[in-house]
Amino acid sequence: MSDQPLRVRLGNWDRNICQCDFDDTPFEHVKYWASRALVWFKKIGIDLKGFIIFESSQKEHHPVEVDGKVVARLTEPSYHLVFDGAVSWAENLHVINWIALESQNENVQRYAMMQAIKETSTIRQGPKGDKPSPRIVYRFGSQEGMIQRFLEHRRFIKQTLKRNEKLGIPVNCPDVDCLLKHLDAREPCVNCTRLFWELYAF
Amino acid sequence: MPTKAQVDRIRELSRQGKSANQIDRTLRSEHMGMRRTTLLNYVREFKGRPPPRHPERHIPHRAIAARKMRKKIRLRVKEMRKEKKIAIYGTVDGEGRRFQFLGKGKDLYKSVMLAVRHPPKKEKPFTTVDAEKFLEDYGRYLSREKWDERPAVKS
Repeated sequence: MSDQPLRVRLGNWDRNICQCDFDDTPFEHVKYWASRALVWFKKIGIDLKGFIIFESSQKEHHPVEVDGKVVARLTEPSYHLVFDGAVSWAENLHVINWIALESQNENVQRYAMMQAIKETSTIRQGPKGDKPSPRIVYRFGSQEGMIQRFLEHRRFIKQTLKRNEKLGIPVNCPDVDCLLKHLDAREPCVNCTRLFWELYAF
Repeated sequence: MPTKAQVDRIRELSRQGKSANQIDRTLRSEHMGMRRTTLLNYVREFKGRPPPRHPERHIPHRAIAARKMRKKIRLRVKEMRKEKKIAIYGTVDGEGRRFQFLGKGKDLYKSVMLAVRHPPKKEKPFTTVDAEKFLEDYGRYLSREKWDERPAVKS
């Protein structure tokens, strides 16, 4: 991929996939709340079946200073949690807000509020600036329902990124129609001088 | 699946004029017992009897309802699987904007490529649209602006 970072974020949006974003949270904490939600919601009739945890980008903060110089920076990882059971939007909000309230995690609470405002839940699947795409770190229970679907979307995004890297599709065309024509033909335009990657890192 | 020996034995007992219950008992005593539904199908076939008229009459109503519900859920999940849903989000002058596409294959790929280039219009910063419809009239959805280089956005 080009050195220039991607200008946009690519993610999965859905109302039927129950997904949650744990920013700056240790892995044990995420795993604990995922397992607890699985047991609790099965009791009250919402079968979440299983879950998968992705490790997202690590944030660098809390600088350790000695004599005014930053010696080290503590990093805290972020995780994404996706459940396997298909849920309605009402059930989805129920699950996310229950986890947010019970865990007393401010980041999860903020995430839950944002999803409720947007009326869809979104999780990042593509790269973020210089940081890579989230990677799978843990699986538990069934993986054949919504998780399979989620992974299909992830594969689509990865393939799109890879395909464009391989083809080097140009975008220095005079108009969008020209770009669409190149996408159909999968070949560079004679009028274009610069490659798509150089301009948009995509 | 029943073995050939079991089928032959059922045929033989049916010719002797034994009832299905008697055949079942005999097979069990000979250590050749099998699933009752399968056995009844064979007995009907060998005796030339028609299949039962209303088999659902003997199934509890709750079980039938549960079966229908399971089928419905399976269908719903299958329908949902047809299309992918991709969100593209970033900022323009510090303000969040988002495209939410649903569709499949090439249409979705092309839409993503265009949306990466240009953000949605300011009047409608959060746009959810079918990829096929988007490609028919992309000028209606895309603005001439460009995405910020390093967007500070959250999911």
